[in-house]
Amino acid sequence: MERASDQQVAMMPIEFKLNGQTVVGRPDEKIIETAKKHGVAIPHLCHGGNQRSDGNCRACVVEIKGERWLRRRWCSSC
Amino acid sequence: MQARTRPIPKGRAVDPKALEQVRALLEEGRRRSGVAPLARDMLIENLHLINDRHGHLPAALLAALAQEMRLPLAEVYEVATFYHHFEVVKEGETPPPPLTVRVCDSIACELAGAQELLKGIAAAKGHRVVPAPCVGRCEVAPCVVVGENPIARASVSAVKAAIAEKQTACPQPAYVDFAQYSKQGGYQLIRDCLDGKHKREDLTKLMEDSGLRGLGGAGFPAGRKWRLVAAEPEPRLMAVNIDEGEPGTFKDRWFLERDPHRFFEGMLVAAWCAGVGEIFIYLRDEYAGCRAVLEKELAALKKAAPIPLPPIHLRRGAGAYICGEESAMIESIEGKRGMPRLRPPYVAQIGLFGRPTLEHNMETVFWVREIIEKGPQWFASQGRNGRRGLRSFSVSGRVKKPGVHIAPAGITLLELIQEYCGGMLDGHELYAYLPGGASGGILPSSKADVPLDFDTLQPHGCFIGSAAVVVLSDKDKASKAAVNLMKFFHDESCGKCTPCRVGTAKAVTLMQEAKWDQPLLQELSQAMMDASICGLGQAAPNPALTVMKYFPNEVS
Repeated sequence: MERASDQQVAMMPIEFKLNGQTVVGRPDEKIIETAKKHGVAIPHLCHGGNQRSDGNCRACVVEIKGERWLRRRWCSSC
Repeated sequence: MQARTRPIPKGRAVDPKALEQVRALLEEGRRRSGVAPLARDMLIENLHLINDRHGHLPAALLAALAQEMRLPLAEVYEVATFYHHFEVVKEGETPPPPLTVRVCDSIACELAGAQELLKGIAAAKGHRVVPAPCVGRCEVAPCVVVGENPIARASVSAVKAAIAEKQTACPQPAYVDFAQYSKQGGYQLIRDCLDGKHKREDLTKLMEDSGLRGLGGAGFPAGRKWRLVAAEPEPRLMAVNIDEGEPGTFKDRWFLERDPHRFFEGMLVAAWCAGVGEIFIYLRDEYAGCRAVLEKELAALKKAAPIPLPPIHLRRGAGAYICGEESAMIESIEGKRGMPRLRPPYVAQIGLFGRPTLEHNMETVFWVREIIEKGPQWFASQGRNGRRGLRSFSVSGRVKKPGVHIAPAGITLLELIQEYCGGMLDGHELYAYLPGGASGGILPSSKADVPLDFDTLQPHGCFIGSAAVVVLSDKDKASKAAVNLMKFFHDESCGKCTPCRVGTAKAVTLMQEAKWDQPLLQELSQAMMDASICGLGQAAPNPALTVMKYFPNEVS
């Protein structure tokens, strides 16, 4: 079987766990968007439409398990 | 159809006289620094040119500067109003008096009586008196800065005398200059590097073996940082952080005032190992004495360059604690407001001007020459209680000999006070201490036997940070100290993210009550720690949390 190119790898779906449930997101998708598709509404102010995601109000911050302690909490819309 | 034209142009019209003045100032700056003044990142430097000349920033000159630099006036205005040391004076407003007297009211000076000084030194026609955040001279607290002249162990009469006699310049320290440093074998190491006597890989490995960690506060292993940056694509940049604003910290100033070339050489070796092509040094504006030393010695180094030097720029902060945060400092070097960036990407990947950036605290590179000369084992073998290396403790507060004490990592506070600080002040008994400046929390005297180093204080809700130890005695209150620290964070919060901007303000209000609403303060602290963008907001609740944990009787 042929190996996938770097470009193909970059477009591969990503599987992760969201509140215990296994979900699949696209690499070009924000966590907040994947969550919405799976029925989890993350509160936010700046995300959506033509808005630029600033990541300043911090309402959409989520916790990532297994991530280094320094950046355990990520802005889900950036 | 003819386009409708405005009878007068939009916004402030630029006064031709102001434009002429600004052009003359920029030309003067260009002659002195040799750098083209119109690049976007020179904005703060240019604001300094105007501010130094006038003592404030007249709006007419800002409009002229904006036009000259082809920037929107709003962008110039937002930068000018972000920093403490700039004061914008709009049309029709009264400019401030020419002389500013800054009374440090951060923790060490507060303990030594800053409030009495603030009350005692009255403003008069020729000068104004303002409280200021830590000026980095905690060993001679209380400190008052008249213009740029720091008055050690200030009294009302000493300050008034300095004002009357117009002593406003910062005295020059006695230090090892270029000739002396070169004579003592200086710059041989970097020569050897370029002559092929050392390999980059070997030196990087050596730094990793020595266990040297970033001494700005986060403690990232220095060797690993070099490796990470070297693996990124060229061109790579280096940024040296001397924005030593953490209350209680003054080690960087202490080293610079003694041996600036040791710092330059370490910086050049680090730059060589990481393959850096251009270096930016960011010095806080409060250190006028260090600035004079660095300017003079950098010129001497460039003139008699022992090796082909990469371009080295000395940039001047303008009074903002937040610029000690690595990405905020990068924003400030780019001439913007010092607001932290979201990570990822990390500055090692996308940093200054969008390039991979090696960012170091000044002291980290200061140690490089000695570690390479004496070997990694020498450095690693120092240390007590199972810890490795040396730390420069900035000790202030109620001890006999405050100052920078270079001691083994892992030393306990009791040992530090007994062996290095000459004991507690007479009539004072150890009550509490801050192990890591304003953000490292407050520990009670019962925890004075905990080894002081990275990672050893986390279980106690504290961290060592920049190793700024402030000692409180039975004459002090931990809760009062915590209020002082939270006020500092409130003043210095850049305002970018909500948890920190709002959280610090709410916390100050809650903590000023005689009895703290502890469950609410806990919840607020959690939100700030969880969601703030940078270390300022994440660490700001530490003093409050540790007071509730260790000194509950003070606040309930």
